Amino acid sequence: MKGLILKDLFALSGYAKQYVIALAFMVLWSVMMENASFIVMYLTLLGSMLVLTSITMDEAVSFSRFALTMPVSVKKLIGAKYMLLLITMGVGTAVSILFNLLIPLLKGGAVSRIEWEAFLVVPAVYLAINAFTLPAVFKMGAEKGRYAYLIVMMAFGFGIIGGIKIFNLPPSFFNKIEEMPGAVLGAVVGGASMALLAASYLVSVKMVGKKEW
Amino acid sequence: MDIIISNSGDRPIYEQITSQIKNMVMNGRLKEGDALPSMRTLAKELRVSVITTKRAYEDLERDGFITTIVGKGSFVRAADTSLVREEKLKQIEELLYQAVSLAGQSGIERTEIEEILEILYQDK
Amino acid sequence: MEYAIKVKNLTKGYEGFRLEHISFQIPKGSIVGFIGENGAGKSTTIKAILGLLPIEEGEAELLGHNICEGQGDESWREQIGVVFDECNFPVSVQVKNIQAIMKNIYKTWDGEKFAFYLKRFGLPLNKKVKELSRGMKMKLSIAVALSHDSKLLILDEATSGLDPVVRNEILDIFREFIEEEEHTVFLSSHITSDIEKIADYVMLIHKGELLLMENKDEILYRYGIVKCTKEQASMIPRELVVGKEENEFGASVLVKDREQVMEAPFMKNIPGMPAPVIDRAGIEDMLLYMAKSK
Repeated sequence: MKGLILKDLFALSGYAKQYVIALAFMVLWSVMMENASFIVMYLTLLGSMLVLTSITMDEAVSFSRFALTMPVSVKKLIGAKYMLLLITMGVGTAVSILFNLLIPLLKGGAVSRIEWEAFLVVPAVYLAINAFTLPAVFKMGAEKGRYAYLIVMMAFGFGIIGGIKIFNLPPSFFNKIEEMPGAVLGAVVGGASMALLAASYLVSVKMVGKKEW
Repeated sequence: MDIIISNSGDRPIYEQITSQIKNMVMNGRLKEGDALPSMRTLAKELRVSVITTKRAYEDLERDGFITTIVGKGSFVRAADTSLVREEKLKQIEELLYQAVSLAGQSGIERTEIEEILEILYQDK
Repeated sequence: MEYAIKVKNLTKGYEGFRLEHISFQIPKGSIVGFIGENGAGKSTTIKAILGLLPIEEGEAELLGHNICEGQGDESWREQIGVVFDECNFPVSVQVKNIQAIMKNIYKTWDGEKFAFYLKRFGLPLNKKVKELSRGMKMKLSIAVALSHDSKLLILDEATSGLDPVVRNEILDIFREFIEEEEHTVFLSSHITSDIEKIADYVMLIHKGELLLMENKDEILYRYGIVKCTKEQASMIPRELVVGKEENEFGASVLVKDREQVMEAPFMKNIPGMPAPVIDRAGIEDMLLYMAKSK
């Protein structure tokens, strides 16, 4: 799998410049707004998009067909993409956390706890979104798979808002969440998204296994 | 060892190889015990199929000019005088056949051919 | 295991096309040229034997390993080098990156060999795949295929679109590869002249059916194109005829044994009529006549 992930990293490295520039603007914006949450939103979105981009690049040159003639199994092929997702999201989250620490310091303020939750929840939500979209991308190809992203994101959006309305969740519900120790929240949210991702991986492997190259 | 083959023309390449090696053995250019290149190397250098060189070497072995030892290679056998003679006779017969055919086609009688032979031997 | 590739009854169908019960065996140490028109089934056959397509019936073995068994990362694939008609690395990857990538995919990856081939082919390390010419992309793919423990090279239309100079270089590389008698090359190509130069055996496929598997020398020295009158053509025994073409003034027949046919009594020259002629049959002729006859 290492070789496959390296290939994706090399292939994507060309985009690094653009992203660093965009990131620089984000940082500026956050400093002005005194709020680092933009960064985490942007970087985690990037993480998912990068994986989709790498899949598109592979399709353009029929890389998967070539890889399957090597000592590479379908499991490894798919697994490499999931690992790539974790890597890009992980790096994105780490960088966001770094800025979240730095920016308040620049402004001479302290780090607020509420914002930490953003760094847990946002990546987890993106991982969950990918858990649903990746199998679709593997099955239908990157071009059609992009629509899956739109659909799933909208579904999440409506789901959250709709859920709140339908279940009439009182503000106390949200307070309880805030009161939960960070570690517990982290475990719950992290655990759930990992579980979803694992299930997604198994589904993807199954679907790709039947594919014709 | 020099081998020159022609791709055009009717003569199969394995035959060209075989006759050139036979000639070299009969003329002493290749001596007993000399190692021949491997079939595969020869094929690569001459840019022909391995099947061709294999056939050539098999024919050479069948006709007693070389011997092939598995794992070691192919080596020239002593030019057995009777074999050499046999080979030369074959070549002579081939040439004479051509002369006789041509004579037949042009309506030239056997006696005229025999006259020519007489003259040729006298000149020798 | 003396066969590099063994295929029995391979059957695979699509809409409008079927590979029908294909069977063939490729001896180790040989170069086999796989020819056929576009859409005849060359790529389908190759993908099927590589395990890239599920097959309906039949079985295939590469280097003694059944490709239908197991979907794990079979380690015997270390010994297979495959080259498709395009270079399959993402276009923004640089040539020098490929060393790091492949080292982590093949256990038997030989970095020194790869560096040697890169140098020999003049492939610039810092260029991205998209910046390479078609010929260089192919040479890169071949360099990759040769830089691990490959014993069997399978190429699918890898030389189309290349100029004769590059193609010749590549053919020389195959000849070098085959110097080891454990090595085998299986290549499909339209370029019948390349096949004629390099193949030991020629395999011809047409409309999903394997029509021919023959020793190349046999084709060049025994087969022939007999040109004669239509009457004479009709008298040639059926089992010797590969394909026939007729025009207003006579007929051309591709036969399996040109000497035998020319010596037949009905081929004797009739005074006042043009004499029958034989021409050598090339691989391209095989393709044209066989495709015509079915």
